[in-house]
Amino acid sequence: MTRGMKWALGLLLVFLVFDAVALTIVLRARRSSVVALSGKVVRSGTAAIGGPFALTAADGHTVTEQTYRGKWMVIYFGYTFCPDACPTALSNMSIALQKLGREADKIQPLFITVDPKRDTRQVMSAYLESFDHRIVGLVGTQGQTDAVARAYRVYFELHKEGGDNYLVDHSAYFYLMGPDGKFVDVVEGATPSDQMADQLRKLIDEQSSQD
Amino acid sequence: MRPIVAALAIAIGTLAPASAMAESSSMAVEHAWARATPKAATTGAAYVTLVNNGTGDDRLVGASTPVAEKVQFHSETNENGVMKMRQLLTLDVSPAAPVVLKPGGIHMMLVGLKQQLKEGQALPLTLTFEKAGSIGTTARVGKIGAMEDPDPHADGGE
Repeated sequence: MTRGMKWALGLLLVFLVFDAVALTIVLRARRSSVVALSGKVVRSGTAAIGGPFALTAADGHTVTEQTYRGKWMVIYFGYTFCPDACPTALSNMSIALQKLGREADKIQPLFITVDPKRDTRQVMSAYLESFDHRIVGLVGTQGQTDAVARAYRVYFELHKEGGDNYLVDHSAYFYLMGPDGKFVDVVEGATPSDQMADQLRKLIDEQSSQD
Repeated sequence: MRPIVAALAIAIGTLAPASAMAESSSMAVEHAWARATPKAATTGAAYVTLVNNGTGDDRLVGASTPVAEKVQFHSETNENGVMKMRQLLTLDVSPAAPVVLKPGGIHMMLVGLKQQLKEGQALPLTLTFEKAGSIGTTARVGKIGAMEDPDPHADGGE
């Protein structure tokens, strides 16, 4: 073996080791980003869920994380093409809001689409007419949508194999953000409305008594 | 050689319908219901309970309704807080246990809705089984986001 060949082999080895390390890091990072969403894990940590975002409401208004400061934001990420989970979550929230009575005034429910290609402002606004009118629908560009999903650690994945009728895997939670904009807890979308109202009331009362 | 093959073919030919008859499934479609849909929604969801009163396995292979372009079967699972829907091409229905389609579980997705579904409407639905053939039923339309059959005591199949 010539010196040149030895040198080349050594270099190759270095590259291979580098690749293996890099791959491991990437895979780890990916796995943790998915795991990050199991509710209890999120709550116990000081995970920075939330952050700046800029989206557009159905009426054309720009809505940012500052717009509803002082209120509790209850945010659901979904899409109008979703036949089962999203209507369940939004109708549970609608009934819960009615059950909360005056307490609901402290809450700003938001429905952010993860499917901005199909969910235009017009579609969102018509869709939400069928639910409690306090729920505000928000749409962004693909970039804005990706950014808000990243900020809230929301997982979503489009399955384009079905052509135009594609489905979207998405987080099944409402994210509850305190009046200071900080993340407080998640409430599962499938929670029956009675329970959801109780859970929201309890979380809000708990937090207010701490202040 | 040739006569044996012919005999075999005839034997198999006559066997096939006989076995199909022996296993003829008497399928009951119960609790057919659907959810009212939000305005502008292009999809809807319908649910049924399938009871195989026969002796052999059967399989739901298709469904249709005049109000949607197509009807698909979907499973839904919540994995670590992520809702995942996947299309199922067929649904096995064994005599051992009824197959219950329900919100948060297996459901029929009405794709390409031609009209908004409203509470109180009756939705014609045709289910096609591998052995039992086509069975027509009517799905009662409940509220948006309803979690159960709006009239659970009504007779589903007829």
